[in-house]
Amino acid sequence: MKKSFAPDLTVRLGDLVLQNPVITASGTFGYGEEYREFMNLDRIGGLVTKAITLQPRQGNAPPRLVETAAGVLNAIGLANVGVEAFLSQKMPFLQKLKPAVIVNVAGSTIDEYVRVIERLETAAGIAALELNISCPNVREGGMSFGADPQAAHTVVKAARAATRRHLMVKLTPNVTDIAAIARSVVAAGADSLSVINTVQGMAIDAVSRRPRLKNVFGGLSGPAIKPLALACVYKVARAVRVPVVGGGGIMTGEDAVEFMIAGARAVSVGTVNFINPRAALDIAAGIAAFCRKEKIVQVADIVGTLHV
Amino acid sequence: MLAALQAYAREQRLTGQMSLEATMGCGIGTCQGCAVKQADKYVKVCEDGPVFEIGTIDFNIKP
Repeated sequence: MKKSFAPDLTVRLGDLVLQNPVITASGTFGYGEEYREFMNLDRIGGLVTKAITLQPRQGNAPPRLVETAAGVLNAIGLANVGVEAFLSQKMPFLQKLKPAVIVNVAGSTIDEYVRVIERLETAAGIAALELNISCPNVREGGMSFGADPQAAHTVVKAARAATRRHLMVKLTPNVTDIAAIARSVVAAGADSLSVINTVQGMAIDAVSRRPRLKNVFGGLSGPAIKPLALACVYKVARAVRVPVVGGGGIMTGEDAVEFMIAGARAVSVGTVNFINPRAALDIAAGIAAFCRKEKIVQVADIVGTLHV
Repeated sequence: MLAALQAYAREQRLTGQMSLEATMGCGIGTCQGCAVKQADKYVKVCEDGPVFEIGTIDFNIKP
């Protein structure tokens, strides 16, 4: 073996082929175009858009964001331009990108999910849909679908019937048994699972005795949740046969490798984009460096190789 | 403080600008974390501000 070889970073999520395992997480990478000045977007593994809803959403009342120990709490409230403006204003840029473009879809009713999916169905340049049944920051929809196996099954089945595209479903960790939700969602037709969305949390200002977020509750992300996310990925990967995208607090290439060892075929990076907008590329480079050091020729070979 | 300043400016019919602070996630307009209310919509302190005209920001929604 040559001293410095180029490891093969390609990973496959069923029919979806990624040039490297690193996907930017929904809500942390806008609509992609905002990051074009920072990096060559064609080099990332995949990109997930902000959650797209049928109508534009202004989002929750501020404050929406608070920093906590090794993490951040957010309650943005799915602020987005709505599916029509997404297709006319955001999609033309995304269409030209080489990486897999994954559109995150949210709704407050099953009918709304289906209508967004139907509207997206004829647009070119979308590699997959990520069904958001796990947002902790909206009153209707979101996590209420993802926290119950039956409700999750119903919405995924309706989404499955509405699209021929690869259907990824993003799960919430705010449940008693994530493996049960995973099995239910796969039985309803999910092609892959994204694990995990943020962990519900809150922060309080002791002097004013008020919540630091206007929404009171928020979703916790960042390194604080990494051990919790790893456990969820490990449980889900053992419970289902479909590919799992793992994420939660990934900051480095080695963090990403840990998720892959736990059973993730690809990884999603979110909060780290706020610290370093080029993080997706740096983490992919970190994965490659790890593979070189450990003499791993194909990164896909490490998926699910945890020795227990 | 800015809310009080804005109230005083309105009372005295003063014009001017004020620079806001907000916790920012990305700092480049994508995460929507630093939103404040201006008229009937949310604007981003990072991208649309941080400097806004006095009298245009709705501080009542602060907790």
